[in-house]
Amino acid sequence: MTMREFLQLFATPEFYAMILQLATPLVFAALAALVSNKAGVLNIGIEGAMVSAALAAALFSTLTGSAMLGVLAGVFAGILMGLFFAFCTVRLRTNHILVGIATNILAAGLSVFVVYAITGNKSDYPGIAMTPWNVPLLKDIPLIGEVFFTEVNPLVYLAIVAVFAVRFLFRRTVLGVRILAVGKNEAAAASVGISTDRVKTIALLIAGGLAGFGGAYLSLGYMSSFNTGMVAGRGFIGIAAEAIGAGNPVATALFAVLFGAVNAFSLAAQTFPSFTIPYELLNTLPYLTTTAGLVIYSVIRYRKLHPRLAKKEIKQ
Amino acid sequence: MKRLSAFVSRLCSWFKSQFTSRHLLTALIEGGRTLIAILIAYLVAFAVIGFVSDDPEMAIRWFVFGPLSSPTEFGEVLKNATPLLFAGIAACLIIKGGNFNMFTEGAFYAGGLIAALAAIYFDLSGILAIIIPLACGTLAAMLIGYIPAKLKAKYEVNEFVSSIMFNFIVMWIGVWLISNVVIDVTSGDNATAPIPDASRLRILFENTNVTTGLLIALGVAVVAYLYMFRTRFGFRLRMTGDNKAFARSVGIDVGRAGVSSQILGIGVAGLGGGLAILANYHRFNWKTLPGFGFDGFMVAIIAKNRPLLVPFAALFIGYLRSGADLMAFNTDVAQEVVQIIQGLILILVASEAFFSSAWFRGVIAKRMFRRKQLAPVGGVDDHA
Amino acid sequence: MKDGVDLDGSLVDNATAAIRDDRQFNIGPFQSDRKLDAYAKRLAERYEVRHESLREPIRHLSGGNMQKVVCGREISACKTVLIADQPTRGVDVGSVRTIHDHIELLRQHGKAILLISSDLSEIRTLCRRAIVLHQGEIVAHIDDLAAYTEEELGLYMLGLKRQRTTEAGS
Repeated sequence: MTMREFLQLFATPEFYAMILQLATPLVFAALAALVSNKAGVLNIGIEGAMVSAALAAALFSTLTGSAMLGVLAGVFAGILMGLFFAFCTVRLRTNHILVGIATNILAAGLSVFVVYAITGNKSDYPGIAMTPWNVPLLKDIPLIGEVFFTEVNPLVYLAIVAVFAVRFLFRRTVLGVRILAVGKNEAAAASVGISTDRVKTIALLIAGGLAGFGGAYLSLGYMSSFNTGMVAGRGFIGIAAEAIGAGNPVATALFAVLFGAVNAFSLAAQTFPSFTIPYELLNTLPYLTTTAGLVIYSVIRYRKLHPRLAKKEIKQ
Repeated sequence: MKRLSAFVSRLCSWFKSQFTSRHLLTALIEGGRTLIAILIAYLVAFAVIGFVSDDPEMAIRWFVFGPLSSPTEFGEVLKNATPLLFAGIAACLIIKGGNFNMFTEGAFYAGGLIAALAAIYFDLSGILAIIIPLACGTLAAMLIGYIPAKLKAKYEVNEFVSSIMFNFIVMWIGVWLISNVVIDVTSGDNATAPIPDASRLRILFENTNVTTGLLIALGVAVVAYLYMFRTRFGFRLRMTGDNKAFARSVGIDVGRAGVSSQILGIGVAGLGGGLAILANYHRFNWKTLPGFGFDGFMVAIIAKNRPLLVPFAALFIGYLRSGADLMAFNTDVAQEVVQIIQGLILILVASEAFFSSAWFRGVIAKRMFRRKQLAPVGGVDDHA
Repeated sequence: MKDGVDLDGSLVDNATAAIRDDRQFNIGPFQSDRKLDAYAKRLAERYEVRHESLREPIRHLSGGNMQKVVCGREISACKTVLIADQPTRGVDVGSVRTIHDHIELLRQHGKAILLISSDLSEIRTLCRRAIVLHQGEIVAHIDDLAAYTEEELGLYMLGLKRQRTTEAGS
């Protein structure tokens, strides 16, 4: 691929529209990770919640004939998964990570099982895609209009709203402050009369709902069917984005968008015939950048925590 | 004679020290808890089967009794259990060291791929045809696994997330290799050339697919037990996993202990991947991750992180798998029902509150020794 | 307390944690369980650790007994210097005596011991020299503890009296 073609890629509005599409589920996943993390729970089950939400959304969209109801079903499935996670961690007091692993195993198994029971095949289930929005007037703005206001899935806007809603939750609401308190120091929170179990459960339900939007978007927005491997580690990438964003919703979302951009690049580059890197290797790009981002963030944090050590190393 | 009696008395005192009454009670309770968890999971699975199947009785019969119906079928159980045994041991080592490194999954893939390639391209003969590929696969897995482990120890990079990213990276590189670089076009598939006969493992029992890999797996379980509970390195590993601050305060290099536990676990997983390929595959053709990594964590949890119990847990999961395969083959229920059972068992067994031993001990103590004034429910542990 | 024991580890694990690398407990790569058990048993007897079995998790022991295990481990493993920070807090009276005796024994063997304590009687029984701190500042160097009365020491501790800087700094 020549330099010109490479630049051409970045000049097309389609590329940026693709970034929006690919970033949306990651933003939802990252926000879900953020809300549960603020409550002191490392929620690995987000991946599983997204899988079941994606399936529920596809299922109910064809069942009811309405994409909107499908999305609602997806969100509901996500919330149910959040409830399950909360029940296991809060009531049964099972290790978070193990519950996460179990949720993911369960969701992966259950989704294939359900698809097979209904259709007789194990890979996909058709859904009814949501109708994308065209915002009148705004869509006529060159480039920006094409990217942000032409044929855009409503859930993309919702993702943007959700970022600020989460920010608002932790800045301005009692519930948000309580979640923060429980996450920071559970014993202290309990001692001032906060029901820590309840607050944790609510946080996990919110996280489940957010993951549900992400899953529903995958099967009804990004595609118009449910495929068994479609979440493909997006929940985990969301967790990584949250870790790098260090608990700030806007920063978290920006990192999710960055990972979405890398994903978009790896997909778009495959369509260029003269581009010689095979698609399998391009597929590693999102995971590579996520790891790299996580490492860079951790190194910076480490340097901050151990300033003297770091200086010594630099001198050497 | 004198030495013998001394030996016997030593054995007796050892047993006494191992199993006091409270000890035995705890072990019984733990075992019972696991059984109850399995029972609940089974009931849920039966309900699900009953819901989707046209002939639930037939499905359940295949699921439960199918694996035991003939030696060949039981051979399938053992075959399925072998990689799970490796995965379980790997997870034991990693969990006991206090980490959640999921690269065991990628290690299975990398170990299998590299072992297959080494077998094909070195084309050795005799025992070397098996040992060298396995060693290559194990080393390759350990080398890649070193990266997330070291990053965790040095910079506290979350090993769970980074190792999962590494899984995907390894898988895609592997898929690229088998569909472009080492592809054998005559196979009609994205797969390597056939693995030479010299490198294939020998069948252990006639009419089954059980190979010598099973014996190696059992050997690994014993070695892992000796390492974890009978050497000073194992001691460092366990202390680091239980309580890092304590380990540091008694002079253990916790970073190094954590890294070595992860590397060893990943090495075991890599060996398991290599053996799985040499035992049961004609060519290497994995296009997705095999899933053994996650399964291994479940096996380890069911076995309470004890290497010597892992073979039993692996056997159980292997039995579940074979039953589900038979059920899927003969009836209209998909074998993924197993994952429902597995997920439920994992949660219930790992739960601290589900029929917890403190709860049990309280109830039993009340029943049995009502006259004695005993601590209330959970009281035994409260002094700690 | 949290850093002193591994609650999930057995009594043996905790009692022998500091001497695991010692050559006499290792045969090649393996550890001699017999010797480790014997060591732990001896330690439990010497320090009167009330326990049911050597193998049970140490979390079944009471806090005082855990403390005795920690003291026993560190005192037994001491090579040249022992820093003991509040070694007898939370321990029952009889065992305080045992721990004090062992620290005393260590001193007789010529080991250096730095005792940090807020228990004046403990300091008076164990120490020859003392440094009195008040709000993080050294207020007195005492070379011969027996020559001072409790009242005098009390005044130093409360910061009501302090040695002249030259004296304190010496």
